[in-house]
Amino acid sequence: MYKLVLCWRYLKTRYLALVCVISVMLGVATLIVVNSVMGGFSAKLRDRLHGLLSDVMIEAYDYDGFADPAGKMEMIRKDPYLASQVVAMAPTLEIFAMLQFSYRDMPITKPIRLVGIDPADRAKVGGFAEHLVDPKRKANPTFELDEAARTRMAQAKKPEPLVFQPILNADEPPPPDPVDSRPHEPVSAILGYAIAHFRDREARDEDGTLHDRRTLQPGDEVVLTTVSSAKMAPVFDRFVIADYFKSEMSEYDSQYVFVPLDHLQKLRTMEGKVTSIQIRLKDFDEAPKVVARLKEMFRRQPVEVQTWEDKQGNVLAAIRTEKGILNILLFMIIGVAGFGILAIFSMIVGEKTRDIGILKSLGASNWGVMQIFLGYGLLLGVVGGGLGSLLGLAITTNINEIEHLLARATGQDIFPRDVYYFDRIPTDIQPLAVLLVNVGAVAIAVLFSILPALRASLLHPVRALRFE
Amino acid sequence: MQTGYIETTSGVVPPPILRAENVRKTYRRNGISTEVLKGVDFSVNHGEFVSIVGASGSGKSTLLHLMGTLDSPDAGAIWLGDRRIDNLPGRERDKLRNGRFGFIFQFYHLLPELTAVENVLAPELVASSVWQWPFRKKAATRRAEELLERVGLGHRKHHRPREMSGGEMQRTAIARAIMTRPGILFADEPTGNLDEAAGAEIMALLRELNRADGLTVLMVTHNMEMANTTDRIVRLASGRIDPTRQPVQPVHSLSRPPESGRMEYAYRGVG
Ligand SMILES: Nc1ncnc2c1ncn2[C@@H]1O[C@H](COP(=O)(O)OP(=O)(O)OP(=O)(O)O)[C@@H](O)[C@H]1O
Ligand SMILES: [Mg+2]
Repeated sequence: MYKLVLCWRYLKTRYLALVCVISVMLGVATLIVVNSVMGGFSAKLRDRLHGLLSDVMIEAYDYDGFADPAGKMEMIRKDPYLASQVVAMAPTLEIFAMLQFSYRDMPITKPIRLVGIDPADRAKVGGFAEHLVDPKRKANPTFELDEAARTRMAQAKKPEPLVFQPILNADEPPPPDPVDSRPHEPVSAILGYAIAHFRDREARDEDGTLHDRRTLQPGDEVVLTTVSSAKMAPVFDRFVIADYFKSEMSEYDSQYVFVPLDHLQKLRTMEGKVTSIQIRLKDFDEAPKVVARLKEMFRRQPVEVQTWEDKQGNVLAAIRTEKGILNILLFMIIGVAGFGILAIFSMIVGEKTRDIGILKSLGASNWGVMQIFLGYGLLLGVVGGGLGSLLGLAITTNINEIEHLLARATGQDIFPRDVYYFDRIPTDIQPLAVLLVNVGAVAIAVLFSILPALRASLLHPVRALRFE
Repeated sequence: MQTGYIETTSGVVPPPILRAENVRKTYRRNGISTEVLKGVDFSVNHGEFVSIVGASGSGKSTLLHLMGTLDSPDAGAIWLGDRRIDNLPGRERDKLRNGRFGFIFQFYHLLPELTAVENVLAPELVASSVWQWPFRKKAATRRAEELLERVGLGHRKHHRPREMSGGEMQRTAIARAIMTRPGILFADEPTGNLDEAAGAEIMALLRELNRADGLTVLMVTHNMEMANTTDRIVRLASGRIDPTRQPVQPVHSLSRPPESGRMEYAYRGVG
């Protein structure tokens, strides 16, 4: 019983113990916050990385694509195993391109990735419709212009001719304007959100949230230039913006432009050909088997079959490695706290030498004395871990508010939203991780108190009593 | 088994309650060995109040620690009644110190984190497991408070050691030493740090416990005046009991039985 009483008294009267508790607390809180935020980021990143990609994809080796996607999909549907696993399929045609438009009379050119899709098919595969900005389109993805866009398009005067900077001599007559493709109505396109917006650091709300400036409205026209299939000759066409695609993954949002598949096929003179078939599975755990089956099925064709994880393998591996290394580093923090405990406990044992002698003269056993200090370590670990968990969870749940405060206080963005294109810092609190961190902290506290405790228990009573 | 007095063939002689037999102790430090005790033979009778005197460094504290199982002799034996206790396993010795022996020291040695009453409770706390404590707590606390009142500290129960005078601390230490009703009290210069008045109070208290409760007291002291008030004086010199300075007959009769009805501290036999 004295063990408990003394443990408790020592905890209450030693401010050094408080230092131990605080160091454990900070270590635990840091681990929880970092793990939750990292977990949030990597979950979100995984989500985003998966985002545009379907579970499994059949891809052509080059931009020339492969023929007869319908036939291939038919073969898949006829295979009993694949038919049972595949939920949806969508052929797509992907190619690099150049986007040109004028903003405040300034010609702007951006390199982009142009994707030809059938919106309804593509939506079934996932990672598309839910990212469309116009809420009506989320349920029913289409390239149709809405009313506002149509009026804006009608109001626009004859589109200003794009100014191409001639690389030729100034004396020579400028090259002819691009072929005016009227009277055909421009086909609509869905633009990556970041292509049509930019973050303006000046445009802040009173509460500090950033605003996006829009450079292209629905209804505005753009010109897309790419290459035709066989001869790689430049081809271009005018498109009108129908909506934006906002996956919050800046790589996608700043690069992708979706246009109707059949139109892109025509433009690139590759009717009937696509560069990939996107496949959605019922159960992603089955992916390796499906991939094997598809590879077998198309082994004579110039196509590659991959899961999205294979395709993003490097990034995913990097995330995993990063998380692992971070956790090791963080446990080193707790290790440091552990050495703090070791040092402080050794001090306390030194200070308490005489008390240990007294306890032994009163009949306390070696094991009993050892228990005092082990219990002390346990108590420090538990109290520090508990407080640290509370602190860590509190910080994690309010991390965005804290970030706002810090950003306002320092005038510096800690979480640059234009890099991540997340509005909030994502967090993912995993109870198991919190538990493990606590168990680890308590274990380290006890582990590092073993040595001083052992030293205390082995003190010779007489020497301890004579100790000044 | 035995309760205090046994009939022996040589008549009604109390058995020595504690006996050192040819005890030797040598300290070794940095290759230098100091032989402190060179064969001490010495016994304490039941109910006796014995003082040990001798020059500083003569090994008085060492002897006391050996007899109280705080340390082990290099040779020889310590007997508690007819039980040899110097070679007992650690756990058994812990039990003896907790239940049979009480210690008081020159520097009081109270636990600074605990209040007076908690200090007095300490041996009981050591003896009880966490599960037993709730059942024992009430009775033990009552006894601790009674003991504090008995040593004249009824008004200091909840003071910490640093808030008490030396005399008060020593009286608390005495209350703690007798908390578990031990048979023998070891006192190492209990008045060494106190002024005369406080020292006299402590001596009176020890004497009272010895007389009224039959507590056997073994006290180391430098103060001959105080030694003279005890039953017997043992002098340590050059590692042995000095035979030339032993009183022929103890001051008080050996056969003095404990006062009737106060068997509280009576030697409880062995085992
Ligand atoms: N741990 C030790 N190592 C070495 N020598 C020791 C040790 N403890 C005690 N001694 C020596 O043993 C001798 C006896 O010490 P002890 O404390 O028993 O003497 P004492 O008679 O109690 O003296 P005092 O009256 O000053 O208290 C001393 O010379 C001391 O230096
Ligand atoms: Mg001494």
